[in-house]
Amino acid sequence: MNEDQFKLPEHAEGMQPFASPEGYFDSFPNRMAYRVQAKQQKTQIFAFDVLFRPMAITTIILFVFGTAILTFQGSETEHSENNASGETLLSYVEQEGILDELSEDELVEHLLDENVTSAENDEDSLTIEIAEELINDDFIDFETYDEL
Amino acid sequence: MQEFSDREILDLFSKEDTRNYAFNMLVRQYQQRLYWHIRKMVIVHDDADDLLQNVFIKAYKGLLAFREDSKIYTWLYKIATNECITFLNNKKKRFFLPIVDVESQLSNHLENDPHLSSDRIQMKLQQAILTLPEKQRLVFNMKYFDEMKYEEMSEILGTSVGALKASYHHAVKKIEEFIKGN
Repeated sequence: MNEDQFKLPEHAEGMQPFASPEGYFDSFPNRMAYRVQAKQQKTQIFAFDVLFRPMAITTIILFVFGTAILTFQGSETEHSENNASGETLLSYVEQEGILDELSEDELVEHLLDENVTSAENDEDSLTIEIAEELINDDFIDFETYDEL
Repeated sequence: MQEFSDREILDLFSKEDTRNYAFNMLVRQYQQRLYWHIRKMVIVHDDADDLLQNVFIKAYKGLLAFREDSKIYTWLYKIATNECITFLNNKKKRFFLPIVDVESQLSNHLENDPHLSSDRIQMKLQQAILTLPEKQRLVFNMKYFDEMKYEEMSEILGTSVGALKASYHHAVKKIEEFIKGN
């Protein structure tokens, strides 16, 4: 064709200027199917992220917040219980007239004595319990058996 | 290969158990025509391959909501055209290149393309097409190679039939001038 008098043909008539790699159109539908599947999986993961991750975060926040509130309320109750025991102690001291009769040192000594006495009583009862156990225990039988 | 009508494809696609089958048929039916349309616009095979995949992914997402105002092929062609225009615009932005440089870059690629016809006139014709403004290039390719009707082109490009005829006429003149002058 003379380029100086070039006239574009009216129709391309199947003229195809480019070519594709061999087998491209045979493999393309399969590649497309894989890509769509991958996209669907990605969408599902995304949907999980969008829907469930905020729910999980909200649940955790509510749980932490709830635990904090319960702990705070618990410590307040404990605090009031401690106050009550202090008040009881004071009323006990007042009722006994300890404050009137005793100096501060004597008061401390009195309270210490009471603690020691109760502890000694506890010890005595413990000693008795152990003694009773020993009497009933097989260990005594064993010693007797050994002497024999 | 058996050709499926739009209705058949849409019916199969609407059912979940035959959706993938219908999509496969859709791809097989239209892949070649869409590929050549895209390839003539972006020149490079790998780019055409990426864009063709994007077209079908978009089709998969939108096919359930397809309202049948047009043929499926016209709809796909429209998606492909938009993909090409977006791709070329992004390419210009990404490399801060003026339009002419992108076209000359594509023209250089043409000369080294192993998949291009070795016909010298064919090479010149492609180089001449690359000198056209983007829209004119689209109009020329659609009319000359894909032999589309102006009405169909009007629907895809959103331009009046008269303007398309004028655009095509100018494109032919420019191409002939380019080949005579080179």
